[in-house]
Amino acid sequence: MKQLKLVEKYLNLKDLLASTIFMVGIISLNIFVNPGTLAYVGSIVLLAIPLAFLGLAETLVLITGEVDMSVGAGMALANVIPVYAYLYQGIGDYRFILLHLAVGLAIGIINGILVGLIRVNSFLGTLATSTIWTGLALMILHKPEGPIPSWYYGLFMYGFWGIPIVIFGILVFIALWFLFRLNKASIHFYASGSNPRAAFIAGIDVNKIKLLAFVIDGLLVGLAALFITGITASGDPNIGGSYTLSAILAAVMGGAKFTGGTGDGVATLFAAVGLTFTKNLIFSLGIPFYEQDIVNSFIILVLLAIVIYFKGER
Amino acid sequence: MSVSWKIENLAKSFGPVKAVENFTVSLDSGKIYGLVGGNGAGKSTLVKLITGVLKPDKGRILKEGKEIKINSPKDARRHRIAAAYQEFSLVPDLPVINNIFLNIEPAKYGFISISRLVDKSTDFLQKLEVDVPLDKLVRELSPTEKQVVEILKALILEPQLLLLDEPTNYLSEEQRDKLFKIMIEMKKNLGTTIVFISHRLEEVYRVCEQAIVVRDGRVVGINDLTKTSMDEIIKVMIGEVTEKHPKYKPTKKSEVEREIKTSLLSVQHLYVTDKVRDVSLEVKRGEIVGLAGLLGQGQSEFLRAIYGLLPYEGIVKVEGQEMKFRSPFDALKKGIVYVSGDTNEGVFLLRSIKENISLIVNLERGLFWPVNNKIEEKLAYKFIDELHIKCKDPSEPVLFLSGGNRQKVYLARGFSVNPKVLLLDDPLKGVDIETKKEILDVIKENAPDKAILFFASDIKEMLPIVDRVVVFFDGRIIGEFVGEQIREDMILEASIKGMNR
Repeated sequence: MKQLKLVEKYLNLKDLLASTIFMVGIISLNIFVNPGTLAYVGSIVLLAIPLAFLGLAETLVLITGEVDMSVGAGMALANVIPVYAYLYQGIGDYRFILLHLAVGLAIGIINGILVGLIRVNSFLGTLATSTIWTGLALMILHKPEGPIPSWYYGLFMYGFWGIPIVIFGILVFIALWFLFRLNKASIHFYASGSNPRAAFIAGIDVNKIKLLAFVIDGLLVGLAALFITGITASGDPNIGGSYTLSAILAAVMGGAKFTGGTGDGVATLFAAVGLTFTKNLIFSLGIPFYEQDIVNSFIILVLLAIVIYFKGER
Repeated sequence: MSVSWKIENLAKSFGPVKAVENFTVSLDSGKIYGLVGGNGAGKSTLVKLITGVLKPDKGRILKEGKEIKINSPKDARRHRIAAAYQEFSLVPDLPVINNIFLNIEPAKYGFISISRLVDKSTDFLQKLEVDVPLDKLVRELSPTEKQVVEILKALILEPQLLLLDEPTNYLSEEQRDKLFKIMIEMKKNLGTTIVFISHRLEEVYRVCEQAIVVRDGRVVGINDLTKTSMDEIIKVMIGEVTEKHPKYKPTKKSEVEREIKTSLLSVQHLYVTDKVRDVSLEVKRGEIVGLAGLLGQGQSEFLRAIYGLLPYEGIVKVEGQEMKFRSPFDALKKGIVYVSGDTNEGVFLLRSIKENISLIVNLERGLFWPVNNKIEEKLAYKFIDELHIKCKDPSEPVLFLSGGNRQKVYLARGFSVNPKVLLLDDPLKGVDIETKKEILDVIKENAPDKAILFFASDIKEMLPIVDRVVVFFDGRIIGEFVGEQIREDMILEASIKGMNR
């Protein structure tokens, strides 16, 4: 009985419930407005996978009480470098995949050293690195370029070992989250964000935890880039765009706070899916292109207000 | 397994304040020591120095005659030193079970085994015959439950040196007895050395063999409790004050005031959670009432509740009219001002002196009609003069001022609106002697038309200016001293003993 209750704590049922309601609600609304959406649910969810991984990266960092303003730009860089390497250096085998992750790892290490070792304020520090990632991406590719290796594109067309890539993405996501959540590192992440002093007293090296959080964050940005490369079949230096903000929003809707100590991966995934369907809804409502961002942001604000209201965190 | 400990010449200063100085003491295994002393004796600082939370300026710690290096709490854990801290060291967003096992989670390849975690903790709790809701988040716990978890967190480490800083504060009678039973079993069966800090001397007598008496950060006596009476211990704690300090003399001003006194502030049956219990106090116009007692006996909570910072039950009347403040803003509008000794919560470091001083004045005028720059500057100059604030000019950010001068800016803001009721919550904490005198002078000069409540953790500070002293103990007023009775030794004795004379 006690174990069962404890498992509930591991699932953060409250956050999970809120994001599930949001996701299911938005999907139903989509189908209600445009029944044709039903046929595309799978591909829209696939569009949400990069955002979900960025949201997870953000969740991990927010749990430790920091924030990463560079996930969108980081993803663009981790998308552009491998495509460049394929187009101009001929690197088109398994190294194409590794390169995505390697760039993500490098980004994470740099951010981690800045915040965890040099103790730079994470908001300002990652805001600064984000412009560097964007700058580098634009130096490497001035405009969107393709194609990508055909075998890799094939994965997104025909699936991986017969598993549709969207299912594969969700499974990887959930596996990674529980790998983290069942590891004792997660307890130390939550402790470091929730009460750094108590964590320190318990012998936890809070700065090392923050460094670790950014390194994992970077790897997840690399993973997000792998999906964006497959989805767009190109390298696009401007793909980062509004992803950072959306990722933070997904994390917050998944239960994370800017003050640290909370956050849930699965809830973030659902929030990311919900947010992607929100964008789709605006599209299907036939709102003119240049007004879509305004409407989208407005809806996001309303959603945030609802989340905050129900959490009683005013 | 039994181990002896020695602390040698430990010292720690915070700015000009020497919290712990040349602290030397030997601790045998299998013994419980009471660490006793008045406010600011350095007890909590000592605990933090031994557990590596604070780094000592000098001194060393020996285990079994060998010096051990403690640079962080991690090192202290390795050397089997554990503590329950007075202000707790819990993670609010984690369940109780993860708090108890924080950084000692049973894990394989880094993965926590939930079943082993639950088994281990239920075994542990059964052995101690303690019941806590293991799956509840700490933020949802009552203060009593938090206190229990804080103690359990230290016990699970099976320490060889256990430091308990006011562990009985929130405990019920029953829980307290259980804690004492556990402590005695630990010293007998495991040879644990325990240092027990409590402001209740009778508790120290119940479980401790020896009392280490500290004053001003030094050891002033190590007494065998079987041979020493409580009065003798108290005498050592207080030190020789009767000879050194002159008796209280009423100032001329307070003689004049006696004629114009009418009740200004009246507090009846005030309760603040379990920190203040049934406190009634009447303060007349022109009166300065000192709140004495050991730290954490509810004085701060009492003042904060009146100011609308804490929810309370009971009646607060100003000039006979009942008030119900929901926030400090309401209190300020009625002429009630609160100033604490914590400039971190009191001043805006990046803003200028004049802005900090005119804050309440501007608050009362509303958002769109701030006082003009000239008046603001005049106000600032007035207080820079009166309080001798050392600064270049009123536009200087408070950040550039010393601690004492920041405190003066904080006080100046309080005086700027000429309040009816002034609530001073240890305003001279960490301020140097000269500044203290200047501030005291200003408080006294401003007293005639006000009701002032003045809490000072070091009661020497309040003695020269107070008309009356009430002593707090465990959230209650347990003694009152007027006129000739206002003597440091008598008040200290009452504070420590927890009873009137």
